[in-house]
Amino acid sequence: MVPTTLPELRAQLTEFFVETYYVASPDELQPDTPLLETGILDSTGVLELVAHLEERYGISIGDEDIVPENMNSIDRLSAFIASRR
Amino acid sequence: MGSECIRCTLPGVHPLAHLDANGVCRPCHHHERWAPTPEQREELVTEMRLLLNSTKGEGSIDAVVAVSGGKDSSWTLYEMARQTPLRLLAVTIDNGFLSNQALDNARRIADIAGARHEIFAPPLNDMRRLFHAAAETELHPETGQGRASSICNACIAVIKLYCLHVAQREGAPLLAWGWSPGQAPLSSALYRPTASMLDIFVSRQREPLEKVFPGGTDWIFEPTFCEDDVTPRFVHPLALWDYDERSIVAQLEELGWQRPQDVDSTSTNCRLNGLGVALHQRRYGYHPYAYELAGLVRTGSMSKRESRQRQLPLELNPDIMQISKELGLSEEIFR
Repeated sequence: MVPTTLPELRAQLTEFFVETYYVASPDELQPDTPLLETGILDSTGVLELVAHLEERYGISIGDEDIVPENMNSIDRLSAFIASRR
Repeated sequence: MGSECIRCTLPGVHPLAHLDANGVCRPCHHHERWAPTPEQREELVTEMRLLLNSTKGEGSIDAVVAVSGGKDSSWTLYEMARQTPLRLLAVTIDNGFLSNQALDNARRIADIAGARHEIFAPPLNDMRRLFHAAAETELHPETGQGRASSICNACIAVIKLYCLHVAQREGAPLLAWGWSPGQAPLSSALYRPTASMLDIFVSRQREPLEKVFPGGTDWIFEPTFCEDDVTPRFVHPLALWDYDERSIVAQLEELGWQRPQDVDSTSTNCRLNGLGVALHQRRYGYHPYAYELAGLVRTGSMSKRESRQRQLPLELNPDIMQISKELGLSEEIFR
C-alpha cells in the first residue's frame, strides 16, 4: 500500500536503501545522511532509485528533477515524493 | 566452497548479498520485485532507438564512446556505428598496462566503425604510482568494492573523468559506455545528469585519485558544467541490446578483433586485471566480478555454472608476479 505520511515514506525508503545499496551499517542510515557524497548513490544507482520511485509511487520523474535538492537524503526524497502525489 | 545465492551465484560474503534463510540474495529479491516488465523494457528500447537516431551535436561529434578494445566496449562502438547515423569519437585511455592487442583491437574497430579515435596516455610513472597505491590500499569507499577491484576502480575513475572532459570539449550530447547488463541496471541506460549532479559525480571520482596525487596533476581532469550548459547524456546500450557474450566475441572475431593472450581469463583488455582480481579475492574473499556475473545470471545472459567457473580463485601465476614487480610491489602483499 502506498504510504500517506512522511514517516511512512521515510521507513519505506530506508528499507529500500538497505535492501538495494551498500549501506555499511543500516543503523547509521539516518534521514539526513547525504546519499550522494557518501557514495551510497552513484550515477547508476540514482537511476535505479528513480525507476523504483516511479514504479512504486506512480509518479513521473524527469532528468531535471534528479538534483541533490531532491535526492541527497531520505528526508529530501520523502518530501519530493510527497510533493508529487 | 562458501555459501552463495542459490539463484544467481552471488557469494554470501559479498557486501550486498545478505542471503536469506532460503539462500536467496537481496539483489535477487529486488530483481523479482522491481525489474522492468517486458513492456517497460520495450519502451526503453524504443526510447533509446529514437535517441540514438535523432541526436545531433553542435560540433562535429554526436557521441563520445569509451573504448578499451575489450569485447564489450568494442561491440558497443561497432553496433552504434552500424545501427545509428551518429558521428562517433572513440576514446581509449592507455593506462600503460593495456594489452597491445587490446589497443590494436580498439584501433581496428574504430576504423571499421568510421569513428575518429583518440588515445590518451597519462604519464606512465604516474599510472604506476596510482596502481601501486590502489594495490596496497583500498582507495575507493566500501560502496565501490563490491563492483570492481581497487585497481580497476582507480582506472575507471581516470577514464570517466577524461571521457567526460572530451565530451565537454567536443560539445558531444552523448557519452556512451560498454557496461554489460550485469554491471549497470537497465534503468540507468539513458541518463542525462544535471550540472549539479555531474559536479557531485566528478568529485566522487576525483577523491580517490587525490589521495595519491594530493597536489593534483594536470592529467586528472575536472570537467565542470554550469546550470545553463547542456550536459552529456550517459548511455550504455548493452543494457538494452540482447547480450550474448559468445555471439559478441564470435562476431567481433569475424571483424578481425583478437582476444589478447597476455591478460587473465576474465579480461579482454588489461594486463593489470589478474593482479587486481588476485588481491581482491585475498582481501575480501570473493571475485571482484562476482556482482556483474551474478547480474548476468539473474538476467538470463549467463549460466550459473559459467558464473561459478569464472569466480574460481585466481592462482598467483608468473604473469601476475611480473606485473606486481613492474608496480614495485612487495610479495608480502599476497600474504
